Amino acid sequence: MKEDELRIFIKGVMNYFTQFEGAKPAVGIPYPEQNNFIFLDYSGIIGVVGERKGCIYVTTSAAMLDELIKEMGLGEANDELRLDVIGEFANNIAGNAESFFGRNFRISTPKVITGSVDNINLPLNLPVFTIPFEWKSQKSYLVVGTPRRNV
Amino acid sequence: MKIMIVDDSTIVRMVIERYLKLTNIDVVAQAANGNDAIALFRTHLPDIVTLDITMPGIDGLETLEEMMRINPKVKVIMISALNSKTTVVKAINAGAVSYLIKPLLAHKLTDTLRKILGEKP
Repeated sequence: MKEDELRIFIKGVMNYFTQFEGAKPAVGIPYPEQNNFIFLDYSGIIGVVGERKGCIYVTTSAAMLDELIKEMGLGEANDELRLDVIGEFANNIAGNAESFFGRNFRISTPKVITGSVDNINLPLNLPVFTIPFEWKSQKSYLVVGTPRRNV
Repeated sequence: MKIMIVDDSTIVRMVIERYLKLTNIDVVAQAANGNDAIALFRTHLPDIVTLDITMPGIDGLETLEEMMRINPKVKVIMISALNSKTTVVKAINAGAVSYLIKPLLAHKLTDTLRKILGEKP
Protein backbone atom coordinates (compact mmCIF):
# COMPACT_ATOMS: atom_id res chain seq x y z
CA MET A 1 0.00 0.00 0.00
CA LYS A 2 1.37 3.38 -0.99
CA GLU A 3 1.90 6.24 1.43
CA ASP A 4 -0.86 8.39 -0.08
CA GLU A 5 -3.27 5.48 0.26
CA LEU A 6 -2.45 5.07 3.95
CA ARG A 7 -2.85 8.80 4.35
CA ILE A 8 -6.47 8.53 3.16
CA PHE A 9 -7.25 6.17 6.02
CA ILE A 10 -5.45 8.41 8.51
CA LYS A 11 -7.57 11.28 7.20
CA GLY A 12 -10.63 9.10 7.79
CA VAL A 13 -9.64 8.68 11.45
CA MET A 14 -9.08 12.42 11.85
CA ASN A 15 -12.39 13.21 10.07
CA TYR A 16 -14.34 11.00 12.44
CA PHE A 17 -13.29 13.14 15.40
CA THR A 18 -14.33 16.43 13.76
CA GLN A 19 -17.82 15.81 15.19
CA PHE A 20 -16.41 16.31 18.70
CA GLU A 21 -15.11 19.51 20.18
CA GLY A 22 -11.85 19.49 22.09
CA ALA A 23 -9.22 16.77 21.95
CA LYS A 24 -8.10 15.57 18.55
CA PRO A 25 -6.58 12.13 18.01
CA ALA A 26 -2.83 11.64 17.79
CA VAL A 27 -1.97 9.27 14.97
CA GLY A 28 1.19 7.16 15.20
CA ILE A 29 3.39 5.79 12.46
CA PRO A 30 1.76 3.00 10.43
CA TYR A 31 3.60 -0.31 10.42
CA PRO A 32 3.28 -3.50 8.38
CA GLU A 33 1.97 -6.60 10.09
CA GLN A 34 1.85 -10.16 8.78
CA ASN A 35 0.21 -11.94 11.67
CA ASN A 36 -0.60 -11.35 15.33
CA PHE A 37 -3.15 -8.72 14.37
CA ILE A 38 -4.17 -6.67 17.34
CA PHE A 39 -7.68 -6.85 18.79
CA LEU A 40 -8.82 -4.84 21.79
CA ASP A 41 -12.21 -4.97 23.55
CA TYR A 42 -14.37 -4.04 20.53
CA SER A 43 -13.70 -4.17 16.79
CA GLY A 44 -15.68 -2.96 13.77
CA ILE A 45 -14.88 -4.74 10.52
CA ILE A 46 -15.71 -3.57 6.99
CA GLY A 47 -15.27 -5.89 4.02
CA VAL A 48 -14.04 -4.35 0.78
CA VAL A 49 -14.66 -5.70 -2.72
CA GLY A 50 -13.99 -4.37 -6.21
CA GLU A 51 -10.55 -3.51 -7.54
CA ARG A 52 -9.38 -3.93 -3.98
CA LYS A 53 -10.27 -6.90 -1.88
CA GLY A 54 -9.91 -7.45 1.83
CA CYS A 55 -11.07 -5.59 4.86
CA ILE A 56 -10.31 -2.84 7.29
CA TYR A 57 -11.06 -2.88 10.97
CA VAL A 58 -10.93 -0.50 13.89
CA THR A 59 -10.25 -1.92 17.33
CA THR A 60 -10.50 -0.08 20.60
CA SER A 61 -11.21 -0.29 24.29
CA ALA A 62 -14.57 -0.16 26.03
CA ALA A 63 -13.39 2.98 27.82
CA MET A 64 -12.79 4.76 24.51
CA LEU A 65 -16.25 3.84 23.23
CA ASP A 66 -17.85 4.97 26.49
CA GLU A 67 -16.12 8.31 26.04
CA LEU A 68 -17.37 8.61 22.44
CA ILE A 69 -20.93 7.84 23.55
CA LYS A 70 -20.61 10.50 26.25
CA GLU A 71 -19.29 13.02 23.72
CA MET A 72 -22.30 12.30 21.51
CA GLY A 73 -24.52 13.29 24.42
CA LEU A 74 -26.24 9.92 24.49
CA GLY A 75 -25.86 9.23 28.18
CA GLU A 76 -24.99 5.90 29.72
CA ALA A 77 -23.05 3.44 27.56
CA ASN A 78 -24.05 -0.19 27.23
CA ASP A 79 -22.80 -3.12 25.19
CA GLU A 80 -25.31 -2.59 22.37
CA LEU A 81 -24.31 1.05 21.95
CA ARG A 82 -20.59 0.22 22.10
CA LEU A 83 -20.98 -2.33 19.30
CA ASP A 84 -22.98 0.17 17.27
CA VAL A 85 -20.41 2.94 17.72
CA ILE A 86 -17.44 0.78 16.72
CA GLY A 87 -19.31 -0.39 13.61
CA GLU A 88 -20.20 3.14 12.60
CA PHE A 89 -16.65 4.32 13.29
CA ALA A 90 -15.29 1.70 10.88
CA ASN A 91 -18.02 2.54 8.35
CA ASN A 92 -17.05 6.23 8.45
CA ILE A 93 -13.39 5.52 7.79
CA ALA A 94 -14.04 3.06 4.98
CA GLY A 95 -16.77 5.19 3.40
CA ASN A 96 -14.63 8.32 3.48
CA ALA A 97 -12.00 6.45 1.42
CA GLU A 98 -14.43 6.01 -1.47
CA SER A 99 -13.61 9.31 -3.17
CA PHE A 100 -9.92 8.35 -3.30
CA PHE A 101 -10.26 4.74 -4.39
CA GLY A 102 -13.21 5.29 -6.71
CA ARG A 103 -16.40 3.46 -7.41
CA ASN A 104 -14.64 0.10 -7.50
CA PHE A 105 -14.04 0.43 -3.77
CA ARG A 106 -17.24 -1.15 -2.48
CA ILE A 107 -17.76 -1.59 1.23
CA SER A 108 -19.93 -3.91 3.30
CA THR A 109 -22.08 -3.07 6.27
CA PRO A 110 -20.06 -3.37 9.50
CA LYS A 111 -19.48 -6.61 11.37
CA VAL A 112 -18.80 -6.04 15.04
CA ILE A 113 -17.05 -8.28 17.52
CA THR A 114 -15.82 -8.25 21.08
CA GLY A 115 -12.41 -9.56 22.06
CA SER A 116 -10.33 -11.70 19.71
CA VAL A 117 -11.38 -13.22 16.40
CA ASP A 118 -11.05 -16.95 16.97
CA ASN A 119 -14.44 -17.76 15.49
CA ILE A 120 -14.62 -15.56 12.42
CA ASN A 121 -12.94 -15.67 9.05
CA LEU A 122 -11.34 -12.25 8.75
CA PRO A 123 -10.98 -11.35 5.05
CA LEU A 124 -7.77 -9.44 5.69
CA ASN A 125 -5.38 -9.62 2.73
CA LEU A 126 -1.65 -8.94 2.83
CA PRO A 127 0.04 -6.53 2.83
CA VAL A 128 -1.59 -5.32 6.02
CA PHE A 129 -0.78 -2.05 7.76
CA THR A 130 -1.65 -1.12 11.32
CA ILE A 131 -2.23 2.56 12.09
CA PRO A 132 -2.08 3.31 15.83
CA PHE A 133 -3.95 6.30 17.20
CA GLU A 134 -4.77 7.70 20.59
CA TRP A 135 -7.60 9.89 21.79
CA LYS A 136 -8.07 11.06 25.37
CA SER A 137 -5.30 8.67 26.45
CA GLN A 138 -7.09 5.68 24.92
CA LYS A 139 -5.10 3.66 22.40
CA SER A 140 -6.84 2.32 19.31
CA TYR A 141 -5.77 0.78 16.03
CA LEU A 142 -6.95 0.92 12.45
CA VAL A 143 -5.86 -2.17 10.51
CA VAL A 144 -5.98 -2.00 6.71
CA GLY A 145 -5.56 -5.01 4.43
CA THR A 146 -7.10 -4.11 1.10
CA PRO A 147 -4.52 -4.67 -1.64
CA ARG A 148 -5.33 -4.34 -5.32
CA ARG A 149 -6.53 -7.66 -6.73
CA ASN A 150 -3.45 -8.03 -8.94
CA VAL A 151 -0.95 -7.50 -6.08
CA MET B 1 -43.54 18.91 9.14
CA LYS B 2 -42.88 15.20 9.59
CA ILE B 3 -39.51 13.54 9.24
CA MET B 4 -38.36 9.92 9.08
CA ILE B 5 -34.83 8.79 10.01
CA VAL B 6 -33.31 5.81 8.18
CA ASP B 7 -29.92 4.43 9.21
CA ASP B 8 -28.74 0.97 10.25
CA SER B 9 -26.83 2.50 13.16
CA THR B 10 -28.84 3.07 16.35
CA ILE B 11 -26.29 5.66 17.44
CA VAL B 12 -26.64 7.66 14.22
CA ARG B 13 -30.45 7.62 14.53
CA MET B 14 -30.15 8.80 18.14
CA VAL B 15 -27.73 11.58 17.18
CA ILE B 16 -29.95 12.78 14.31
CA GLU B 17 -32.99 12.73 16.61
CA ARG B 18 -31.00 14.79 19.11
CA TYR B 19 -30.06 17.34 16.43
CA LEU B 20 -33.68 17.52 15.29
CA LYS B 21 -34.70 18.70 18.74
CA LEU B 22 -33.12 22.00 17.67
CA THR B 23 -35.88 22.31 15.05
CA ASN B 24 -39.68 22.16 15.05
CA ILE B 25 -39.79 18.99 13.02
CA ASP B 26 -41.47 15.87 14.40
CA VAL B 27 -39.79 12.50 14.00
CA VAL B 28 -42.65 10.23 12.93
CA ALA B 29 -40.70 7.06 12.20
CA GLN B 30 -37.28 5.46 12.25
CA ALA B 31 -35.97 2.49 10.29
CA ALA B 32 -32.75 0.48 10.28
CA ASN B 33 -32.97 -0.91 6.74
CA GLY B 34 -34.46 -0.16 3.34
CA ASN B 35 -37.36 -2.61 3.50
CA ASP B 36 -38.65 -1.30 6.83
CA ALA B 37 -38.07 2.25 5.62
CA ILE B 38 -40.27 1.78 2.55
CA ALA B 39 -43.05 0.17 4.61
CA LEU B 40 -42.96 2.97 7.19
CA PHE B 41 -42.74 5.57 4.46
CA ARG B 42 -46.02 4.33 2.95
CA THR B 43 -47.69 4.40 6.39
CA HIS B 44 -46.47 7.77 7.66
CA LEU B 45 -45.87 9.70 4.41
CA PRO B 46 -43.21 11.97 5.93
CA ASP B 47 -42.37 15.30 4.29
CA ILE B 48 -38.62 14.81 4.85
CA VAL B 49 -36.44 11.71 5.11
CA THR B 50 -32.82 11.38 6.24
CA LEU B 51 -31.44 8.33 4.47
CA ASP B 52 -28.23 6.33 4.86
CA ILE B 53 -26.81 4.40 1.88
CA THR B 54 -24.82 1.43 3.20
CA MET B 55 -27.47 -0.67 4.90
CA PRO B 56 -28.32 -4.37 5.01
CA GLY B 57 -30.73 -5.54 2.30
CA ILE B 58 -31.99 -2.80 0.00
CA ASP B 59 -29.41 -0.01 0.06
CA GLY B 60 -30.21 3.66 0.46
CA LEU B 61 -30.05 4.49 -3.25
CA GLU B 62 -32.66 1.84 -4.13
CA THR B 63 -34.74 2.94 -1.15
CA LEU B 64 -34.55 6.52 -2.41
CA GLU B 65 -35.79 5.51 -5.88
CA GLU B 66 -38.75 3.64 -4.35
CA MET B 67 -39.63 6.56 -2.07
CA MET B 68 -39.55 8.94 -5.04
CA ARG B 69 -41.93 6.61 -6.91
CA ILE B 70 -44.34 6.63 -3.96
CA ASN B 71 -44.13 10.39 -3.34
CA PRO B 72 -42.09 12.47 -5.81
CA LYS B 73 -42.52 15.54 -3.56
CA VAL B 74 -40.69 14.07 -0.57
CA LYS B 75 -37.46 15.84 0.42
CA VAL B 76 -34.74 13.25 0.98
CA ILE B 77 -31.45 14.17 2.63
CA MET B 78 -28.81 11.49 2.08
CA ILE B 79 -26.46 11.05 5.07
CA SER B 80 -23.62 8.67 4.26
CA ALA B 81 -19.91 8.09 4.82
CA LEU B 82 -19.57 7.39 1.09
CA ASN B 83 -18.06 10.50 -0.42
CA SER B 84 -17.29 9.93 -4.08
CA LYS B 85 -18.66 12.32 -6.67
CA THR B 86 -20.22 9.36 -8.50
CA THR B 87 -22.27 8.35 -5.46
CA VAL B 88 -23.34 11.92 -4.72
CA VAL B 89 -24.41 12.52 -8.34
CA LYS B 90 -26.28 9.20 -8.39
CA ALA B 91 -28.24 10.23 -5.29
CA ILE B 92 -29.03 13.72 -6.55
CA ASN B 93 -30.08 12.35 -9.95
CA ALA B 94 -32.38 9.90 -8.17
CA GLY B 95 -34.13 12.80 -6.45
CA ALA B 96 -32.27 13.55 -3.21
CA VAL B 97 -32.34 17.27 -2.33
CA SER B 98 -29.09 17.18 -0.37
CA TYR B 99 -26.15 14.92 0.45
CA LEU B 100 -24.35 15.17 3.78
CA ILE B 101 -21.15 13.23 4.38
CA LYS B 102 -20.59 11.46 7.69
CA PRO B 103 -19.49 12.20 10.31
CA LEU B 104 -22.61 14.32 10.57
CA LEU B 105 -22.26 17.76 12.07
CA ALA B 106 -25.33 19.29 13.73
CA HIS B 107 -25.12 22.62 11.92
CA LYS B 108 -24.94 20.94 8.51
CA LEU B 109 -28.18 19.09 9.16
CA THR B 110 -29.99 22.08 10.64
CA ASP B 111 -28.77 24.37 7.82
CA THR B 112 -30.03 21.88 5.24
CA LEU B 113 -33.39 21.63 6.98
CA ARG B 114 -33.69 25.43 7.11
CA LYS B 115 -33.06 25.58 3.37
CA ILE B 116 -35.70 22.92 2.74
CA LEU B 117 -38.17 24.78 4.94
CA GLY B 118 -37.32 28.07 3.23
CA GLU B 119 -36.09 29.65 6.45
CA LYS B 120 -33.28 32.17 6.62
CA PRO B 121 -30.20 31.04 8.59
